Amino acid sequence: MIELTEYTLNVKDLKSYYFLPSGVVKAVDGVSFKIEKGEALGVIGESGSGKSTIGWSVVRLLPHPGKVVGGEIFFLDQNILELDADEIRKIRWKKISMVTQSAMNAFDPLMKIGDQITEAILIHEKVPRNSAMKKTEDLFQRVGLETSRLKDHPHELSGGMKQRAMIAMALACKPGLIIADEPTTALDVIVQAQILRLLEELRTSLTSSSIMFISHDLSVIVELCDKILIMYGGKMMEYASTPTVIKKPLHPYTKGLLNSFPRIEETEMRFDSIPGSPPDMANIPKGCIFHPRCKYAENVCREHVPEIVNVEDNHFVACHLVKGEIAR
Amino acid sequence: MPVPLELDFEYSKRSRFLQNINIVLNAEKKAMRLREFIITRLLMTIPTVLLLATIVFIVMRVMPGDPVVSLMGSKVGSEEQIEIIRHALGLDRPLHIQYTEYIFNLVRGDLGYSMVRSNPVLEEILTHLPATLELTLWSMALAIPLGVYLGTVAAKRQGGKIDSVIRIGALVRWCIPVFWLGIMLQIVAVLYIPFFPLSGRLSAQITLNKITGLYVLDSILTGNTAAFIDSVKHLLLPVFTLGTTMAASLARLSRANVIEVLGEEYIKVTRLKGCPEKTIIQKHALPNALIPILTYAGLQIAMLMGGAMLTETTFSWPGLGRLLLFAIGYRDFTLIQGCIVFWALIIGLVNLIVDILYAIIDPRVRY
Amino acid sequence: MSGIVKSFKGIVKSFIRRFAITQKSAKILMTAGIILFLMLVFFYIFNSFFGYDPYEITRNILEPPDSNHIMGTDQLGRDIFSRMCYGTSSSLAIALIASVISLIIGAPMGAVSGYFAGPTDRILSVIFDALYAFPGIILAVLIAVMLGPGVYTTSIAISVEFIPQYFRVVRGLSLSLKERPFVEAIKALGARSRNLVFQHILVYAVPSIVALVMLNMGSAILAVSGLGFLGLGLPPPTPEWGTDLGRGRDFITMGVWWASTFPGLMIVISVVAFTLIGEGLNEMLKTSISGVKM
Repeated sequence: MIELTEYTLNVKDLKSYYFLPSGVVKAVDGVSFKIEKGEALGVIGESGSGKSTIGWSVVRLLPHPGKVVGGEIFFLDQNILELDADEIRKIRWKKISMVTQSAMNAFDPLMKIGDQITEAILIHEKVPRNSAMKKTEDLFQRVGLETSRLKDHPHELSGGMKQRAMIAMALACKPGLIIADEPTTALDVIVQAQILRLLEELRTSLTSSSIMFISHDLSVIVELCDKILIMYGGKMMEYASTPTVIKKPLHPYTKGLLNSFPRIEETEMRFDSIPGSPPDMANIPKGCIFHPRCKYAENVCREHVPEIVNVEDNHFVACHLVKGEIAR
Repeated sequence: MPVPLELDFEYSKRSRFLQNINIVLNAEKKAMRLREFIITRLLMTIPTVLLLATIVFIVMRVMPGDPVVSLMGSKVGSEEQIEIIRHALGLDRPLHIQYTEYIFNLVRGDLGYSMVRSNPVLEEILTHLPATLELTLWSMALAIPLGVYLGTVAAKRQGGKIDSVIRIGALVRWCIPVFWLGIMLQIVAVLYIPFFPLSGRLSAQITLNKITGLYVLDSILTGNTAAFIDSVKHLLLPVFTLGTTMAASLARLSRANVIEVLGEEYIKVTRLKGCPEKTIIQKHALPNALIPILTYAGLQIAMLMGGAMLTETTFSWPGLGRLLLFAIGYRDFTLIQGCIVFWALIIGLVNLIVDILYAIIDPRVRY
Repeated sequence: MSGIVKSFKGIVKSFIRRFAITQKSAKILMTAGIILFLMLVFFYIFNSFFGYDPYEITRNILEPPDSNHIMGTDQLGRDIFSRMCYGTSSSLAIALIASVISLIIGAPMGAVSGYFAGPTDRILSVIFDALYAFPGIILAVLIAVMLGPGVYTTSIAISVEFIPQYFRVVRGLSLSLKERPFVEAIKALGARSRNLVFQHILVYAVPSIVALVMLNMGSAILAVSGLGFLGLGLPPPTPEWGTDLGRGRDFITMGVWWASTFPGLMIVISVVAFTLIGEGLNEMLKTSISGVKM
């Protein structure tokens, strides 16, 4: 019981499937993690690994043929999956907010951008309109936007500005958890850097909010997050604190990912990529889902799904070749 | 996008005062943009109408066959007779002279003289205009709310039973010819409910002071209760027939638009914000979905004004549709030409209004 | 040339595959439409063998429906049911010819316009947009009057209304296909590339065109009957639904409801048939390969 209220987000064995006419896609299949107050968790994986699905499952807004079929999601002490429609609606944004991938289309084209942020506040707090607008102004300034832009319509803002506006909106109700779903992916590199800097600033000043940062870009996650969850084909591969992942990666996939990024310190110029391509989610391979691309694959990998093992001090790995002992 | 004034302020330490000035200037800029847009659009209507009028001119004279001969139709006339008619219509003169006179007259509001009805064309048109206007307005007043409402309901419950019922209903309704529905209603009226008049706008025994030509309005303005009731009764069947026909296509369009809008990213975000579903539909989905519907409704109005020929024939409604049909039947060259040009003018006007409304509603449009 | 055949086969195959995946609702729509259509054909054939002569004038005028004449007789004593069945062939024939005409004119122009873009495209688009905005009825009436009654003249009169639709659809496809890599590949492969590209575009457009044709058949039948109702179109005594409907109007006040009701019913049934098929095809086309509605 005590354990539950310590964590802002406690996800146990989450399973979210998409029921398509052509078959069932197990987008998230047995994922568990915890986020503490003020902590930032990075969820990394390739496209189709199920990382975004986790985010949408937490707010219970999976798009149509998708459903959460199993597991538990505890936000503080509430089981999100057991709330009724009205309760979850009240939690949304006020307790858990989200910054989506493409802020390009995230705003109603007909409404002024300031009004849309104010709307977010007014939905959850019974305050006079003026004070909500004042709050919006402050939020704007916090993310580095001109308050004169509050009266503008979304199409008048650039991609980077809209992303900032979205971040401002996400902060509006001072939520306990902010889910950032690939917030920098759709931006060009310079703007990306600006947004990242902003996020870093906010992280240091926002000690009460936790963040779930979803991305395919390991370098970004490493900069911002305290813990990392590595997803592949809907399953957890490795889950540990950031320093651990970087210095002592255990899963072959993690090692592959780390090797794919050139590093400034190393003198060697070669870096590997991981051969093969992500699995066809309608037809996942038997056994360990990563085995077709794994250079260490052995028979047991082809036959049995590996369990998630706590190797040491909250370092979780799902790999047959790593069981209780540090291997290779 | 960024304007010099803004850039100046961007890098200085802004005081509240300076920020406020910027806000005011921005608003000023936007109001000017809208005003400019309206003026530009108004000015653009004139060449558009002239272009349409030119097209009518060309088509009327370039149609297969000699216009005069086809006008004579089956009535075989002597060479002399044909020449007399040709001369009376001015069709024996060189094209550019005809054209200049045509445009010149057009600008002065002279649409020519109808030989068959012995009346200036413009007068004939203006006499018949109110009937079509009244029918159109009331039909759309029924069609738009009905269609948009049903379409929205169907979109909200996409895939459900109500959705299927509405879709099939709209589909079948679209397949029913407008004239057949009218006749069926008339049959029901004859056989079972004598309450509904079958044709015309007003019963013979009612007198009404016609100010605008819109009988319902006129009867209100002159306090004529008997005429009010009578004119409304006469409108019931035609408006129902025409209105439900329009409503069917509007329902399908609304449904498609609302479904599309509901799939947009910003609706997802609004839901993420915890906005109640009803508010999402009313405040966000509908306004965005209604924009193309506005254009469509405008187009429909313009088309109806051109001639709800079938409905007007079924109910013997003395409007522009029937006038044009009459003109075509009697091969009245000037009347045909005049009706179509007038209709082109209405199209230009309606498009103008729609575009302006569009610009007011959708901030992205104002160039 | 074999490339075209191959891509055609490919289109057909993906069509069949899409059909398998299509939602039940679309399949029901199409089946219902096809059933209605077959019903009409069946009655036509049945009536040609066993029915009355639709042209035969008798003295039993304006008889209400009874066991002898299930739809009654018209003002010249002719059996209405028989005239309805024969009317099927007139309406369908004209509708088909009109659709084919608009297709032949509109589709290639759309392909060309979309592919070349630039000023040609702009001019053509403006022209066809203007045509599209014109109320179909006025256009059809004008042309029908100018050209006179008859099967082919009526077909032409109606076809003009639909040309812009084919133009638009194929132009849209052309514009989007033009950007695809396979077009560049074709161009890189040879000199006669332009023709090849057009042929490929038109082949790719086949499913959409088929759906459009079905829907247009419905509109065309409505248009034919509209013209008939107004007294234009096919000359009497040819049985045609709209014409008969219009003639039957004169006798409503006498309580004669059957002369106008049944022709209209035939119109509705046939239009519904084609519209269902067309809508079903549209639904099918919108479904993506994975089976999720796009």
